[in-house]
Amino acid sequence: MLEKPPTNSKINSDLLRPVNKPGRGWYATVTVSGLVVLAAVVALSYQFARGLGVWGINRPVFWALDITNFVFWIGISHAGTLISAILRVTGAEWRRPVTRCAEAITVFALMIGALFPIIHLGRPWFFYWMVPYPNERGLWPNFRSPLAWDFFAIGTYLLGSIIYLYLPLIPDLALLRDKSRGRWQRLYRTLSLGWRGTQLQWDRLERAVRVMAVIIIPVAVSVHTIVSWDFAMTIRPMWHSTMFGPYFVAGAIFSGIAALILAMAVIRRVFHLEDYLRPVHFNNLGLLLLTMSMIWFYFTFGEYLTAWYGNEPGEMAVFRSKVSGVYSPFFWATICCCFVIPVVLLSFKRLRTIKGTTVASILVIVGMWFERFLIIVPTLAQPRFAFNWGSYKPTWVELTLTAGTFGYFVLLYSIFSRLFPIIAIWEYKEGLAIAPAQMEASDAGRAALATAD
Amino acid sequence: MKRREFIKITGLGATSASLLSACGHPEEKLIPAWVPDEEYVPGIDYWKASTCGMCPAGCGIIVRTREHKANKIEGNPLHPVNRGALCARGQAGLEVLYNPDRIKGPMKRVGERGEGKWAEISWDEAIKTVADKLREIKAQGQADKIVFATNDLDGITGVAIRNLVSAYDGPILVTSETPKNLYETSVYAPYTPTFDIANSTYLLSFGARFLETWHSPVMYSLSYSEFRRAKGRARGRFVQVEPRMSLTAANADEWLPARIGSEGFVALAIAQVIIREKLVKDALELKIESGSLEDYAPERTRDITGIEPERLIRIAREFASSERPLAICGGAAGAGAKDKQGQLQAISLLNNLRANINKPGGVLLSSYAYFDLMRSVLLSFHRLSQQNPNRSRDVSSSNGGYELLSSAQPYSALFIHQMNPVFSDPRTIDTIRAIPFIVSFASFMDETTQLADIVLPDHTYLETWNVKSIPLPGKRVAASVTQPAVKSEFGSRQAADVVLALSRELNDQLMAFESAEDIVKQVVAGLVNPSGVKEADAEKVIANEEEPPDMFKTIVEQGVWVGEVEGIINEPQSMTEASVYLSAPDVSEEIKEDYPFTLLAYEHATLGFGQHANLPMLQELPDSMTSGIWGSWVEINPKTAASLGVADGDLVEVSSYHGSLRAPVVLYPAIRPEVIAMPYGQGHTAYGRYARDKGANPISVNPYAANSDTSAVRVRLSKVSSEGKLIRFGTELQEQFGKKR
Amino acid sequence: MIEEAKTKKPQWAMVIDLDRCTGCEACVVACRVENNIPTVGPEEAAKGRSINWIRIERYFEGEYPDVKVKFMPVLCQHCEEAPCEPVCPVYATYHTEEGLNAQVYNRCIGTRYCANNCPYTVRFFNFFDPKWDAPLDKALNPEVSVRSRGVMEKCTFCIQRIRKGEEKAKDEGREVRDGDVVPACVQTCPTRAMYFGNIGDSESEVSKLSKSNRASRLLEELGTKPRVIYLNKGD
Ligand SMILES: Nc1nc2c(c(=O)[nH]1)N[C@H]1C(S)=C(S)[C@@H](COP(=O)(O)OP(=O)(O)OC[C@H]3O[C@@H](n4cnc5c(=O)[nH]c(N)nc54)[C@H](O)[C@@H]3O)O[C@H]1N2
Ligand SMILES: Nc1nc2c(c(=O)[nH]1)N[C@H]1C(S)=C(S)[C@@H](COP(=O)(O)OP(=O)(O)OC[C@H]3O[C@@H](n4cnc5c(=O)[nH]c(N)nc54)[C@H](O)[C@@H]3O)O[C@H]1N2
Ligand code: SF4
Ligand code: SF4
Ligand code: SF4
Ligand code: SF4
Ligand code: SF4
Ligand SMILES: [Mo]
Repeated sequence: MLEKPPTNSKINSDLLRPVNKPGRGWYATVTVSGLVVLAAVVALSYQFARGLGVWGINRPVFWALDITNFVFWIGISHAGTLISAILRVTGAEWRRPVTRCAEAITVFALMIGALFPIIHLGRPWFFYWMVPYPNERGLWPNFRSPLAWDFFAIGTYLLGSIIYLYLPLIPDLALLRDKSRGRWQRLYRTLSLGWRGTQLQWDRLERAVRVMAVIIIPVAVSVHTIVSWDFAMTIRPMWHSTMFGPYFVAGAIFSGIAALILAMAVIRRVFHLEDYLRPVHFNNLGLLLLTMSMIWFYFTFGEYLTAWYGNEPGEMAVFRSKVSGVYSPFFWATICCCFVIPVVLLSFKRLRTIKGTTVASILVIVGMWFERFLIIVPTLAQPRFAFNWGSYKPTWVELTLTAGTFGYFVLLYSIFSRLFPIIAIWEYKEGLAIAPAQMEASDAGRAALATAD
Repeated sequence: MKRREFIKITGLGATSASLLSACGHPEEKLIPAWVPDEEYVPGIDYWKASTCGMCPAGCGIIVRTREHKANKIEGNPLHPVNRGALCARGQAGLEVLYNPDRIKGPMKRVGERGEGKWAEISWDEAIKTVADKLREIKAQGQADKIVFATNDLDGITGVAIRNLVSAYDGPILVTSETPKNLYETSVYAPYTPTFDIANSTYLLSFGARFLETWHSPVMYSLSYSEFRRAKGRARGRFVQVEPRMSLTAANADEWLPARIGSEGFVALAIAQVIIREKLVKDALELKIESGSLEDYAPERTRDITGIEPERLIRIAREFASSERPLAICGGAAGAGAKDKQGQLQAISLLNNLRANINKPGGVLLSSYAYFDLMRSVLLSFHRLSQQNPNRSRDVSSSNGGYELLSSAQPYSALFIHQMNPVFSDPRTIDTIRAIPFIVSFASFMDETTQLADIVLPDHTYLETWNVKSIPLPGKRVAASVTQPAVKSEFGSRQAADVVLALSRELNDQLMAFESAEDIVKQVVAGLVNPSGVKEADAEKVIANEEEPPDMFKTIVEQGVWVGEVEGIINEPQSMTEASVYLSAPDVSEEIKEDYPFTLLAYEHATLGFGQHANLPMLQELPDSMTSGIWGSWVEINPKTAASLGVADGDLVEVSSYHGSLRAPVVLYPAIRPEVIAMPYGQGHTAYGRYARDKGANPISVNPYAANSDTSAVRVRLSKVSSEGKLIRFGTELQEQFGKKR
Repeated sequence: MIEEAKTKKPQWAMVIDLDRCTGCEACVVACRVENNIPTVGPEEAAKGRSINWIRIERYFEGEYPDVKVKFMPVLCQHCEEAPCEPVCPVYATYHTEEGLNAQVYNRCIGTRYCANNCPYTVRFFNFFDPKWDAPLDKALNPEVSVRSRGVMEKCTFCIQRIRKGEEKAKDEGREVRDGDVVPACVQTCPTRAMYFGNIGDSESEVSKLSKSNRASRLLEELGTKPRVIYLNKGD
């Protein structure tokens, strides 16, 4: 498709188009997602007014969609920062149009995930009691509680990923500042921190980005490990597992990549960025997704095999409820969505198209949501003494809130892409400058795929 | 029955201080009823002794009050029945007192009967209206068609009613509900038996739910506790014969699910083994009118009982060789039998074989029947009325209340107190509807009160005065006092006081009693100073020598008086001469085909027959066996259910020849496959917000159950839907887990 | 199994004799009345939100006609190594020096984490504000606080009665002894199946019973070291 590298002005106009002229698709997306968010706000207000009883949670299923959404969105957040950081650190050149997309996902997914530990509280207005500060209660939070660890881990990660999103945004902000007028210009001017593009500035920026990339990787890994420890530190059957840390991290990266692919597919379509988000990106991410699917399955298999082989009654009750009991439809759907179908779609070059990877990603996202649900609810529903076994059915409030998270995500993402270039312009240009030949070579290699698209 | 009585006062040595320290509240105050308001100190707990009114057992309670509000009920440690313990119902009593659905004052019907439109009236107006009506009825010559039905005929309401009858000078029919437990104990007539479970070593119970509802659940629970593990004694063995495993049977070491109505056969089979194997020495001869004892050998009656002969032989040997065996005939044993008396006689033969009457660990006969608590007050009252010799005196109906009200008589008026026949015995509905004037003393708007013309709301038991005698083993007798734990504040008045006010309105010359409290005082005075009873039919009564100065105060403070009746207990004649006639339970093929199952309806352990369905605490208390709450259910053997294609939680319709009902299914592994069971207690259409529209009343498929003691009725069953709306606290049956989850 | 007596404070414990317990549930009602536990009504109860600090678990064993039933009263086990405690982010549930697993309602923010980590499922959450239709509220025990919505609650071993008993012993200048503290459930039990006392005192009844060969604890293998000891059936 690309005969020769596009000109700077074409890149500018293509990649700034979403900011300048978002198009009807954008407005439709914002309206729909805005309405969904509105519904969720209504549901949430109702919940705050009446009490947590408007959810379907009960004894013994004290956590359900709240924590499912929490874990799911924290998982999705691994899209970004981690993937982009790994790609940056390893110097994968094809990453260039992908990083911003990914980093934005991280920030928004985290913002959503981090909401749940607050709104799921019985008394959410006291959420700040989990914050360590000297207070009139004369009481620090309990640092032995994984929930306190969550607070620090998520806080650090959110801060880190905002910085990590922001730093590479600066040159593009400067570009926007130069190309906009009025109110918006003031915003961009403030945000671009006087970027002039001097060599010194470039040096510093690149160093900062590189340092952040290195820092953010362990932070990301630790966040999902700690989230997994919310479960693994307990003594509940099928929660109390040493494997949960890596299992959760793998699952997080897995769902994160899927989210990234899906986001790219949408952006590509909505903003007509076919020239930038090209089959090579989908192919490469698809291969990553395939790898993660296999890793995820390996962990899952290991988890369930050990539970089954151990044949401990408490574990078996949970195991059976998932594999052959009331939760088995979800369980097998999860296996299909996260493993069987994606592996088929992603293993064959012929299927690893943009469409193929997108379909696989959608399945993985759905599957991973259910995987989170299946980690939480069956264990809670089957306490050790069978007299207390329970079940769970979500109410409209929880379902609306769940839908709301997706709406909220789409809304934030849309607004972001309206305000800032969703593909890093300078990075893209830099890539062209560094190795146009490299890019072309890889491009030629994908010629067949490109025409198929 | 009247013989010499020698009444001695015993058991009053303890002081009130020891009462509270005995139950772990030593720093608080136990106070009698008359401590004046000014003496109450805020923030201090005051305890009042009284009697539980949640079932007829009559346990002693102490009520914790603070700032004139009652906030806890506990067992009275000095009380001979419950020794400080209390059952689940007894604990829930405060919800009767503070129930939001109490009727707040006297009311007069203004709309159509049953329409539910009422006008509030004053107590004076209410009493005057009723008195006028009574006069009018007398003028019409209908006085002999008035019925006064009360569940407190033996208590002071009965005394007050007698005052009313005398003042009215009309032959009012006075009645109470049929004492259902009577038949079970009639074998020992005239004595009331108590069973020394504590000291027995082998307990063979035929359907007696003595841990839940039967006779005196707390007394027997305490007894059972000792039976299980008392110091220096081997653990007792307990076998329960019952078609459906009750909570009591669940605690047995062995559950014997004999066919409904075959208990007598089981008993005779055991007896036959004991005799043929000569397991006891000098066994008395058993007179079997319906054949020879050999006919009842376990091998021959296997089809009737449904029990393997080897099992009965083993049990017979165990029973015969155990040190102090005991057989109890109770509950609805024989419910499906043709001849209940025969069944019960057969069961009691087992006790005779081991000659355990009045022996430790055996059947202890009680002097209860010889202890007429109200005698002294009724005598003095009769003295008064004898000055007017022509007045009506003896008006008790020999028929039970339900029997009376289900006969199609044209009654002229009905006074109803502590009974709810419209709910408990639907056969009475037509008769009651036809009665032109109905006065209800209900505290709650129950189904019967809905049809009333005048409602005179009664106090609950925690606001009333009463005194009641209670069966204790052997010579001991007890009088348990009920006194107000708190001052009444809901516009009600004690029925006995209202009845006395009515008497006064009719004839103020014939007043033997000032008030309910006064009756209790006189009763207690009669206990303390029996010599006051001069005209007793040539009875010689020995008074207690050193009579303490304020006996009334002490007794009321302790909540109970314990005395002794001497020299009257002999073995009942029937014991040695008993002959047994048994006929096999049989059902025509046609009925078997149309109605393949037998429905066994049992009393809900806490909701009773429905009288406590208005207490949210008990509605939400999981049934011990099914964990069901806030509703009723049908218990079905899982195999039967599978053959019918119904699953746990499905809604089914149960139909008998008489009617049908719907309820959710509970799979119950401990019930005979041809039997289904259902608790009473629910199915109210009135009776307040907590009781209304919860579950179904099994009486609708067995309207004769209330009076004929027939708990069992033939039914068929069909699935309606899979949405039974069964509510449980615990989860479904374990055996379902593997499959469903 | 008992924490070394670093402290002279009494170490509260309960013994339940399963051979005596009949499953009658008197204890369940007694606890409700004493501790102001609200009823939630049929709709909420159907969702599994009914609250019973002590419950009787019933297990059927075997098939008709050889069915056996096991009843087991379960309340907070006041575990010495209580798994519910470390997970609470705000110290709303913690261990007292007397071996009680205490619950501070005012501190609780309602994460429900403690309930998830209690292997005995004895923690109850207030999904809504409790409600007593007037005048039922007159029967509330003035010595026990009413819990608002959003907080966790569970058996306290009748802390209000413990305090009273201890104060009395102190007033009389002596150590607590058997009978000073009788929780509501123990007090009412019609078969006298429950015992309560200071397991730190080797002379107390609970101490002696806890050494019975019938004694065991629930889920001992988890290492929670419960302070509720069960005496099994049989000889
Ligand atoms: N807690 C509580 N106690 C009460 C009362 C109350 O309301 N609550 N009410 C009191 C009153 S008024 C009464 S009349 C008594 C009634 O109390 P009980 O005399 O105990 O009567 P039910 O509760 O109906 O128990 C009947 C039992 O008999 C069994 N049964 C039924 N049919 C047969 C049969 O054919 N053969 C055998 N062997 N067993 C059978 C049933 O399984 C059931 O377990 O309870 C008194 N005690
Ligand atoms: N099918 C069937 N029916 C039965 C039986 C059976 O075994 N099978 N058993 C029969 C037996 S043994 C019994 S005892 C009866 C029970 O039947 P009833 O004696 O009619 O008892 P309940 O229906 O509970 O109604 C008692 C009424 O007393 C009122 N009440 C409660 N407390 C007080 C109070 O303090 N003061 C006043 N004034 N009123 C009060 C309430 O309004 C309540 O409705 O049922 C009988 N019906
Ligand atoms: S058995 Fe229960 S309901 Fe009956 S009097 Fe005793 S405590 Fe009250
Ligand atoms: S009160 Fe006693 S006998 Fe009844 S269930 Fe509770 S512990 Fe068991
Ligand atoms: S039983 Fe549960 S709530 Fe009680 S201390 Fe142990 S873990 Fe905590
Ligand atoms: S629910 Fe309350 S007590 Fe339990 S862990 Fe959360 S804050 Fe702590
Ligand atoms: S000890 Fe107190 S709080 Fe605990 S179950 Fe017993 S009555 Fe309830
Ligand atoms: Mo009765």
